[in-house]
Amino acid sequence: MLRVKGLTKKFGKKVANENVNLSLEAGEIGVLLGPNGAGKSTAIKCILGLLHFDGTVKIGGFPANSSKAKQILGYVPEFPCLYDMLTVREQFEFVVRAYKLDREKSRRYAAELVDRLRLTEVVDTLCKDLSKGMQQKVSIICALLPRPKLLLLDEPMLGLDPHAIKELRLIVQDLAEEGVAVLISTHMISTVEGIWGKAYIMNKGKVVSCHRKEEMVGMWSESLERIFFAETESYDSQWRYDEPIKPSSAKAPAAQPSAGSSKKKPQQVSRPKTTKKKKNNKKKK
Amino acid sequence: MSALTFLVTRQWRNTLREKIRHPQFWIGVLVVLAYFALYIWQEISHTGTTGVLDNAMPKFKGGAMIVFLIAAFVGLNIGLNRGSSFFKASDINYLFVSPLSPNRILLYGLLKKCLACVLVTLLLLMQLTNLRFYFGLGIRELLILMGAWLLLTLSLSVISLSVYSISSVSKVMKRLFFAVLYLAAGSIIFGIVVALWKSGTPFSDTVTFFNEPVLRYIPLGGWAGGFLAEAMDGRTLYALAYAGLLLLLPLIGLLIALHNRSGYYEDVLTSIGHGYGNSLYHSSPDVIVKEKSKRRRSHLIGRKRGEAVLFQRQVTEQKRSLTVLFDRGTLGMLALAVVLGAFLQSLDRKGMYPFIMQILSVAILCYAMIFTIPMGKFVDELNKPFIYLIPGSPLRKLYYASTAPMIKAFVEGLLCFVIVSLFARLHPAFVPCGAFFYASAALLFYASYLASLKTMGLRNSRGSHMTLAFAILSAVFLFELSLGANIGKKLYAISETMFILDFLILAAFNVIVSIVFFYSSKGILDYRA
Repeated sequence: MLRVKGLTKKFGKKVANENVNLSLEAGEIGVLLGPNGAGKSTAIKCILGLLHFDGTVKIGGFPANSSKAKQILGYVPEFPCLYDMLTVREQFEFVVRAYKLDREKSRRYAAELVDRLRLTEVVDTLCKDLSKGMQQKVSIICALLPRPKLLLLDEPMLGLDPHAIKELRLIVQDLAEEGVAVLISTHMISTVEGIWGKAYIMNKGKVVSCHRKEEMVGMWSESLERIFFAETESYDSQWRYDEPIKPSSAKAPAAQPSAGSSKKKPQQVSRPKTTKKKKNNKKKK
Repeated sequence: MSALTFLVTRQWRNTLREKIRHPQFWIGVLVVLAYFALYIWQEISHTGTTGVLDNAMPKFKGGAMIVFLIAAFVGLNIGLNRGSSFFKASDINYLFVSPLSPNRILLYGLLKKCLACVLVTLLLLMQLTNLRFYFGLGIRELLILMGAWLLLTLSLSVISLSVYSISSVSKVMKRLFFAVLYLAAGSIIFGIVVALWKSGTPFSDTVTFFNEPVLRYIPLGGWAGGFLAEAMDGRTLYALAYAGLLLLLPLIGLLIALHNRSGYYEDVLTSIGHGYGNSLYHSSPDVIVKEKSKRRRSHLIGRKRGEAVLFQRQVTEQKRSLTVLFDRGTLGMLALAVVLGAFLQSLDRKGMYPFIMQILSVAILCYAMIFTIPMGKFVDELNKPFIYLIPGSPLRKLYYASTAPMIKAFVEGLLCFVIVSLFARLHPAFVPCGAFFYASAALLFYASYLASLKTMGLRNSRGSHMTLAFAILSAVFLFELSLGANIGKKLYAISETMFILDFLILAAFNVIVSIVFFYSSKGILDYRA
């Protein structure tokens, strides 16, 4: 459903993405993980055809940026900037018209999604009067309304309440079962822990590794969080405000872009959590 | 109904519904209706006496040409800096990713912009009385003026999109465009000054000089002026030629923007603030090292503690953007000082008293400063959380938040009064005294704006706040005028030079009034917190 080959994006001399290769089959849930500034959002913008890039992107066999590709594409943006002066209902109607969807079917589907994401009370409210979390929910419904074959979600869980996060995870799983390919870009690893099928770890604009969940069963690296830290932890984590950064004095080796690197023993990433727990226990006592 | 038509109509309908619910809208409607009612009443009871200026039409055409040239320069400058203003972030999220054709989307953006331009142009109708009274203009002339302005603003908005598209390829290209724009503007100004000097045109006729046909060859601004002049003179063919030029250039720009179908998407993304390039630049470790070293060189952050950090932060920001002393407003003020100096020089030759020239220069520069003062910086400070969160006295916080622009105003005042004094041969002691008054007036403006914020609440529009701030300022200045006249009379009786001290005394008065305003408005920080 999605084929990205050699995607390279430069802003002047700065390289945002370098030779990014991704692929997703129908019904697959892929996650794009990486620290801030890793190039996840830029890659998604390139896939959407919003930015010029080198390389090829094909969506359902159609080149990105073609209207046929856009017809089967759903996108939840990083920042839910809706049309302020449209009500939630009108926002949905606009999407229905833009994608030339069947009105009755879309209306029923929208009602179902509104109910699942608990937006019933605000459907006639202007989008400018919604909270950020509610705007994000509206944005998710707008992306789902055209019943896309490929769904791109850029930090979809930001600002959502636990109920909505749970519901979104269920929706994503339902969609995958229906054969929709889903690509989620996030750094909230725990929110995608149970649903991912394929994980691309990005760092400094490159895909440093790709993991399939079925290949990891029974291995230590089954946990997405462990994989993430093993692949991305580097000198960045040693940075202190009052000291200049010296890339050459990096303590941890840079992650290798090979799948084998994930088999290395992970660093003690969970240690701070346990100490916190101990402290909490002491307080309780 | 297509998606785009639906989008436009529903947004307009909802906006109107929202506006109707607010009393400010109805007050605005009543003011406009009252204005036109008065205009009609005046037309009916017209006695035949008007204040039409001598040589009114050439003056009007020349004035219009000046306005068009400045508007063209400012429009291109903004276009180079910010790019397209056709689209919003919501358009990127929902239009650009939809299967709608990019060309249709661009057309939608263009039409939206056209409507906005038409609405702005309609505001010219509010000048109907003035234009009729001073220049003897009729409805036909007013329509021509509106047409010229509409053509110019439309051209500028389209050109800003294409210029930004071309210049955003690289920083070198952008610098090149800026250099070309400023060089062209500089050459035009230089040429005009030299031509004025050579022709020996008296100052009072400077505006009519802008009727010179050669100025009509200047792209955009000149063409708009040409259209206006030719249409008013009844030379329709020439007027149409200028209108054609004004439409042709944006058409070429539009073709460039359409060249790669959705090529403009990236420009829109960048201009709207999704500065991916910038965010990436800052996240690169090598760059962070450079940024940190820059921070150390500035020696500003961390030097002072407490409320003073507000001042330190503003100065550091301004230092980084090279606007500690000079910004667009300062350049405008310096240009005004030159014009004012030339005007006062002509008065000096006619034997005008120096003290009147001093009062005139202070009054005009302070009045103009109101429009160039960086009020946005002060308002930004109130919109950021720091001013509320930093522990300390609210009065001191407000003081430090307005110190940086006040210092800027003082330096700006020094430069302006040096220029004016050199031209009009005023006493050197007038320069620092005038600058002090100028800076104190800036402080007073900040304080009155703050008082209006406190009175009306932060939820009101900026226009309402400004209106009340102006009203407060007018009341203070009215009292100050009477105070200054009384003290000045006594000082002038001692000696002519002593009169200059009057400005220092009034500056002290401004500072005291400002402190009172700050003190009475300090509760705004608690309210917001």
